[in-house]
Amino acid sequence: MRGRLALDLLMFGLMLAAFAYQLTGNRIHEIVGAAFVALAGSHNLLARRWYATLGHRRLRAATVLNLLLLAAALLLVASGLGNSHDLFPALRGDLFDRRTHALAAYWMLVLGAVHLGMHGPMLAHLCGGDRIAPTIRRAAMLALIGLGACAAIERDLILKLSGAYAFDYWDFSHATAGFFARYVVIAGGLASLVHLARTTLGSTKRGQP
Amino acid sequence: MLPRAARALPLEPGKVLTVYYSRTGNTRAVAEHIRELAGGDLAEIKAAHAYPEDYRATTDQAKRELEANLRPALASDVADIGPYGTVFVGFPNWWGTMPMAMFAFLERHDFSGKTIVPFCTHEGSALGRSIADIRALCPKSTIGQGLALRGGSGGYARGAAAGREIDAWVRGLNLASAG
Repeated sequence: MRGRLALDLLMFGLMLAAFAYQLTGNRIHEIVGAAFVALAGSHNLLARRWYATLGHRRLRAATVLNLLLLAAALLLVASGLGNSHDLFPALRGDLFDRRTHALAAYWMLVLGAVHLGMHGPMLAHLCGGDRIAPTIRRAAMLALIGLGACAAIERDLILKLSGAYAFDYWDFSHATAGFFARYVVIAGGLASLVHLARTTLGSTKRGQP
Repeated sequence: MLPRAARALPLEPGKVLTVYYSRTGNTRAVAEHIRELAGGDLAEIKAAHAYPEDYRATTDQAKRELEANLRPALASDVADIGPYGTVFVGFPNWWGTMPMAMFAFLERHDFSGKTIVPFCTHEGSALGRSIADIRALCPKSTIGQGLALRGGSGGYARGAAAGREIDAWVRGLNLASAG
């Protein structure tokens, strides 16, 4: 289980690196993207039981969200290949433009965070977070939600989720850490919001989405 | 077509210039609206070479030009920047800054003592690092508060909401005292 957590953290780190396109340039962006796909493939292989039982389960919100996440991931891969300059130039085509790739990436961030939040109790147990006093844990999550909301507004996340933006800009000459911090709190805030909502609604069971 | 400006600013028309580079017409629409508000002259900067019709091919070419720090020859330029005290400079944001034709334009003329007011259309990068680039190219000029409007195929820059943003921005510049 801790191995899977390490895998997921690495995936999140790669996603952040992929967002920093201006900092890394195109070649490294594509290498990071390929690595992310490889890890995502491993993640899904480890979750093959979920796929095997897909046809036999009721269509709950969690299942729909996971399917949307899968769709966003597939669109991200397809549009990434379709816009590749360096690693897969032979696959460049007109089907998906840069705006589509950006759109899929932002939806991956949001749906990935929701996915994380749905596994809150399991993650808390793996990280030892369930040993922290509930009041402190709750306060920390509320703070993260607030910071995440501010960062989401500053980064114009809603417009980006609507496909309005093909590019993003950050002045890395002044504040590199701030860029990554903002996306960490956006994802963390969203995951915390989902986890708190589920625990408040009383729909979580230990270790299960 | 942007909605007509609510009222004109009390500027000396002969001292204001709105100069722009536009590939799709978004930046041109914004420039024309600014000129309606601020008065003065309007001029378009054009590169001597063409850009592809295809959006992706244009962004690829723009990136190569940026990486090469190219200064393209200009097919149209401003004859004499001397009489103008305030120059609105407009452009589409390409890879976080101005198209290289605008670099060429700013380097060709002496903006010492003038006020440069940048505006751009963008697809997510807002003004990017264009302010810093303009400051580096024109160290003896004053840089006014810039305006960034969403461009792209969505047409926001040509709509009523953009018109209101431009109205509020130009009024807020208080150019009558700076020009």
